[in-house]
Amino acid sequence: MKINQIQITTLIFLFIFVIMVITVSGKIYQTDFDSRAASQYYLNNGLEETGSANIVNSIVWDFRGYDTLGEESVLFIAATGVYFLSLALRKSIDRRDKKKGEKTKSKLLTKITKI
Amino acid sequence: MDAIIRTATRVLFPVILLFGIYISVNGHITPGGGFPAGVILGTAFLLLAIGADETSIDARISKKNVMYLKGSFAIFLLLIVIEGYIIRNNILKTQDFFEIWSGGFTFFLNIIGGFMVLLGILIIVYSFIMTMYPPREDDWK
Amino acid sequence: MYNYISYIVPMLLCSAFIIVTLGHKYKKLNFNVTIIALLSSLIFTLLSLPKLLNEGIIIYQLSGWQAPFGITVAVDGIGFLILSLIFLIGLIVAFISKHEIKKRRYQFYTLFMFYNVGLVGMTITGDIFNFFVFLEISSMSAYILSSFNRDKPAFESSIKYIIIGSFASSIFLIGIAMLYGMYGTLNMADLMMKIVPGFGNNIPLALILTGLFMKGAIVPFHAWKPDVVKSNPASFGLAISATSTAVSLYAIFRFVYTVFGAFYFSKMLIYIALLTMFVGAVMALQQKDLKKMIAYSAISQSGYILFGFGLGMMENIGFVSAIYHLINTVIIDAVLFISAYIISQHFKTSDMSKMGYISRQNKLFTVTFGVALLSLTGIPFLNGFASKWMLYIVSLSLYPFAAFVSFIVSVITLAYSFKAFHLIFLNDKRDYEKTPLFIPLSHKVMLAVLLVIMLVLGFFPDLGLQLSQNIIDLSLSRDLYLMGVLS
Repeated sequence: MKINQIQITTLIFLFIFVIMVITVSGKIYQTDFDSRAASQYYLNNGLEETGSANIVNSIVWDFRGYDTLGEESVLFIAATGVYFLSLALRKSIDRRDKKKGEKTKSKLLTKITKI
Repeated sequence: MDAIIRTATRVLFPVILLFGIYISVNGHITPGGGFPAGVILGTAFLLLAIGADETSIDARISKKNVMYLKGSFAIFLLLIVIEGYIIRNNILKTQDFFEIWSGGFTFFLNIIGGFMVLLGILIIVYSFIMTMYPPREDDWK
Repeated sequence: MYNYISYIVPMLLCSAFIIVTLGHKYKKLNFNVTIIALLSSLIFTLLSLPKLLNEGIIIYQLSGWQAPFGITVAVDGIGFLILSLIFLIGLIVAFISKHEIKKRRYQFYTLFMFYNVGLVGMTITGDIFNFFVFLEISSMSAYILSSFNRDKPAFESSIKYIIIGSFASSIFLIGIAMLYGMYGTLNMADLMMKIVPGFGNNIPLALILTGLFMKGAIVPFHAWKPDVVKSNPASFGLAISATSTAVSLYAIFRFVYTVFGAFYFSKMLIYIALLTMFVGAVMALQQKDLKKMIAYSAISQSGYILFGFGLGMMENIGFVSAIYHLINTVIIDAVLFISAYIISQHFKTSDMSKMGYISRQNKLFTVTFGVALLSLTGIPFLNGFASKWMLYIVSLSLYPFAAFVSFIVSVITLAYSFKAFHLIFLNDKRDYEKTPLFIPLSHKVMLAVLLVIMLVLGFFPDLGLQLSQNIIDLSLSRDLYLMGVLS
């Protein structure tokens, strides 16, 4: 199925419109609460409670280290997924070589090395 | 490959490596930490993969390196597990700020995190390079 | 050591570690480590049941930081139910995949362990960004698992799932970012204290719910699910269809009821639920492929559960019927997917028009499948009856048009159930080589246990209703959640 240029441009404009709506609505929906409650606490007490001068580091690895654990697992899943699928790609290239009798180049690598 | 690129790669690789380790170790004092350091270390190894001799790529895919790759999966996940246990307990704190030993566990966690991102990038780069070669006998099927 | 629930996630990661390093060489380790990990996780959850009954909610602050500034683990009644369902269905999936997946088992099991890590993390967390991180973990492992067969339909379904899933994650993340920007905190209990129902909360609620609907395959965002279920092994189909739906519906309950308290949203939920029920049932009627039909039927049943949630926003008793229907749906889906594996193994195809004649070969199997299908439609004396009847009665008093539509959808469900049953089991107009139907022993045991559970719940509906009532009593109190987390 070929995608028109018109469809792509409408999708891009819709996306930009949605982001604009969300940005504008962020200025309209002011709340009564201190919207910096958590960040003020980290700034004030981060140095004494964790002992590291880099507050970003103390948030990433100390206060919210569980999320960083999750992010590392996502990285691991991505890496293993790429590895498992590359095994399948190698096997299919191998099968294609055995059928044709000569060594073919994978389309993926030619496209990458052309850059 | 050009002689310039080959020589520059050989010179730059340890420099970038050292820079990445510096950013990772001083993560709790200066801006940086685990993730940017891992990206920089990955860049060093990517430079090695691209800019080195074309003739020496074959030599690099030896049996030892395949075992190192499989071990890297293991180490990666083991570090994730260790991080899970460390994070779930209370940290240990020391008193002087702006020193190397001030952060408690964040010191070790930065190094672990940098190493983990490096391993992730290495696995992905290795997968792409190895699509040029047929599957080996001792490789995972 | 008294808090067992927080040990589940690192233990599942440990098992994934063992499988990925040693699984290629020592082939028996794959299956055994999976079974040990899932069984011990189930034991850990059941061991924390006394604490849940004593205090009403299980709270654990990770790394010892106080509530709004650290991450909390908060498990109440419905979270406990979903956790046990995840591990039970995980065990069934492991047993099915032992026979079904013969090559590259270590790949399936490590990614399946990560998938369970994601689902468990979503269920136990009390923090919206943590929820998003574990949603990403489970989604990414499902993206890779949905191309397991490595042939063209599998890759196509995987691409569809990746595009729709990434889009859903980004929309969900934008909703969470808006919530953080407006209220300055990421903790669910803290947000519950600060959110006042009003006009200002509509956009974050809409974005979050859109993301959750896309992940949970609610119409009109359901397009990825039938292809993913069809082109993949039946064990992964069961995992996607039963546990993913259960956790998505739990997430919808958590966000709409506990965090937002959006009682004005009930009518909209009911409309979406009616649409889901109807489209799922009508599409299931047209399918020739067995697994696609089961996928559409699962979509239709999740519409029923959402209908119960919508009614529960008006009166509390709707939640009881929704939870009971969730339990029934999970049991029935397990039976249907085990049967789908056995049937497609026997005929070497999934196309229903090429099947037939099984009823003469194995009567007990026929009876099990028939009981499962009939209980979907809500025939009395089977377990689906009590939950559906309760939904009809509750909706008759609150919103009669919806009761009428759901009754029509039950009739359509009966139609496609009968069609499937006839085509697979009773049809004997073709001649086959009469090879005997081979069912492995573990599958026979699982089917027998599930059949007994369905009949027991059918003949004694009070058991199921009392169980759901107890679970709901522990989870409906928003004040208890607030006090538990923030004290």
